[in-house]
Formats: sequence, structure tokens, C-alpha cells
Amino acid sequence: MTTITVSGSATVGGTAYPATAQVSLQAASSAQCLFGIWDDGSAWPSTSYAGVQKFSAAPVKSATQYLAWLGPFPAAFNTLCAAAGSTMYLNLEPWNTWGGGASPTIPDIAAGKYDSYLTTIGQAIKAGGVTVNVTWAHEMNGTWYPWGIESVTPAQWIAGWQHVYTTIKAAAGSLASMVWCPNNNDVGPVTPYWPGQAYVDLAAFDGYLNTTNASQTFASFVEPTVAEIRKLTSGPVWNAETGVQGTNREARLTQFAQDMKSGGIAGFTWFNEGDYLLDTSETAALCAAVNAWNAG
Amino acid sequence: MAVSVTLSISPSGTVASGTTVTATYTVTGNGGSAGQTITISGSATVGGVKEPATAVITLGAVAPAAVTYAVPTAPGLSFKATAQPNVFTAVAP
Repeated sequence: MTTITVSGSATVGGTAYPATAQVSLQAASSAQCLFGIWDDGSAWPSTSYAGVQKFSAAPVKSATQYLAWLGPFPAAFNTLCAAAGSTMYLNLEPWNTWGGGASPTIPDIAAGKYDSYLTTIGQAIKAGGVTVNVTWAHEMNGTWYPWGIESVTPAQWIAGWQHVYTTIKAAAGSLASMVWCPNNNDVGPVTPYWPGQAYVDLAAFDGYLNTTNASQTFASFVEPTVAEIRKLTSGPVWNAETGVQGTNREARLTQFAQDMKSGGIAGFTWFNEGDYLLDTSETAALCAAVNAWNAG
Repeated sequence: MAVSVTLSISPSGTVASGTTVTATYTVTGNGGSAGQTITISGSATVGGVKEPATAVITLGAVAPAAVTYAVPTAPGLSFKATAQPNVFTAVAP
């Protein structure tokens, strides 16, 4: 633990009044893993925490929710997270996959056309009374989303992000923590999408070991993304969505977790679905890896 | 009442990595003052006779002074402004 002094001042009628406060931070060497889970069991309507609970052998700090555009804020899941001691990671996706309306365009979002919806999201976060981590239009440097590189320029994406950031936080106050989240940079650089530190509360990326090739490791495949992000920000960097391909992968995912910790990553969210769905033994190995991380 | 400024931090206790740290300024003693009417009393003694006299004046209201807040600084923490001018947040490393 490190106790540091926060210094500031308020100027009242032209006279500056200094003020200080102290805060105790976990030492970097003993920083706990920001361990998160996305499990298909948490899908909308998200009223069950059971999917996340499968990983309860380790302290789960984050639980993901994917929310299509104009979808209702998952207040019930947010409450479940708070009760379990985790923080909801709300992934706002600007497309209509649930029949709730037309898919928006990024320029329309930037222009304020959907401010009422964004304000509703922010107000719901504030009403929940707990911090919610929020991302929007993630993996924007990839090709698989309508907000990706084939349809949206980095400048357009940044304009959208900055507007979403400002609008949600205006309504949510200090309870919305906006998470900037590109994909691993093997698909394309992340730097063009950096909106500036003033618009990023937590820098993250989605970085998987997405082949069964054992030579694909943190160092060879993921670390270059981390290095690129570290040129943009000195703050924590979180692997917000990850998994390891293959079967009988206990050893590989354990090594991956160790490498992420050694690489200074703040933590990771396991995407427990499809090719990355873990069996009982693999789940136990992942939890053991997180507990080892937390043990220092 | 003299002006004073305090800075408070939340959450309390040891802050885990990745947690949002909130710094909040509180200013006291900057309430300004309402307008008021006061009576000034005096007297003049003329030929040994004290002659009292009064006058009434009105003091205008004084608005609270303008307040601006500096972005707090701390090693390892990068604070940013929020929608509330006296509130700043940072993510613990």
C-alpha cells in the first residue's frame, strides 16, 4: 500500500486556497487483478448472475453486459453485480440487433440525435448508485462491426466517442467510468482512434490468443498492442475481453494470465462463450491463475 | 466567516487498482451577504443640550465570489474534470 497526497486549490474571488487530501493506493506489485467475466448466461434480459458465479473461486471484479442500441439499461444486472462486489461493464453497441429500432450512424450519434437515449443511460447509472464501467463502439479498428474501419473513419469514431462520453457523464456524474476499447492491433493500429486522455477514464483493449498455435503468446501477439497504448496513456491498461483457443488449455491460459500480470496489465475479462467456453477443469485453472495473480 | 477550502477523497480505505478515485472540493464561507438597511445613530451637543440624530443607509447585497477549481495532482493519479466543477476523477493504477 502506498499513501499519497492529492494537492489542489480553489480560487475564491481571486484568492487561491490550497487544499490537500491523502489516498491509500494498493502497491503496484500487489495490485489485484481486475478480473471480469462475460458468460452467455448473462445475456439480456440479464436477470441472472449464475454464469458469472461459475468463477466464484476467484474474486470477480467485473461482469460484462452487451447492450444493443436503444436497449434498456440492465438495472437488474447492475444490482446483482453490486451485491456480488463486482462492477458492471456495459458495452454499448450502436446497432440494432434486437428489433428496438433502426441502427444509428456514428455521425448521427456525434451530432446529438440520440442524446435522449444516452442521457437515459447516464441517469440510470446515477440512479443505480454504483460505478458502471462503460464502453461504446468497441473494437472499432476491426472489420466486423458496422462501426469498424470499413464504414467509419477514425475522425468520425472519435467525434462519436467524445459526444457519448460527454453526454453520459453529464447525466451519470462520477458514477460512469468510460472505457476506451479497441481490438488487438493485429487487425489495425489503435492510435488513430485515441480521443485524448480527457475522454478516457480507463484504457483497455480486447486481446485474445485466438489460434491454437502454441507460439502465439502474450509477448508475440498481445504485447505490441499494450506497447502502442502505453505511448498514448500512462494510466492502467485492461484486457477487457479475452480468451484462449483450444482444448485442455489449462497450462496455456495459466501462462497467459502470468504473462499479462508480468506485462503490467490491470486485469482481464474472460469471454466465456463459443470457442472460449471453459470446462470445469479449465474454469478452476483460470480461477487459480487469478488467485495467484492476487497473491502477489 | 472566513473562506476555507477542503478536498475530500472517495472511496475511503485502500483503493484497488482500476478503481475510480473521486476528489471533491468543498468551499465554505463564500455565501456572500444579503442586502440590509442599517441605522447610523449619533448626536451633537449644542449649548450643553444633546441633540440626537440618525440616518438610514442601505447596504447592497454582496454575491458570493466566483470560484474556480484547479485539477488536483498526485503522483500516479491523472485527475480529469467531470460535469461538476468541484469534482474530479482518476483511475487508480
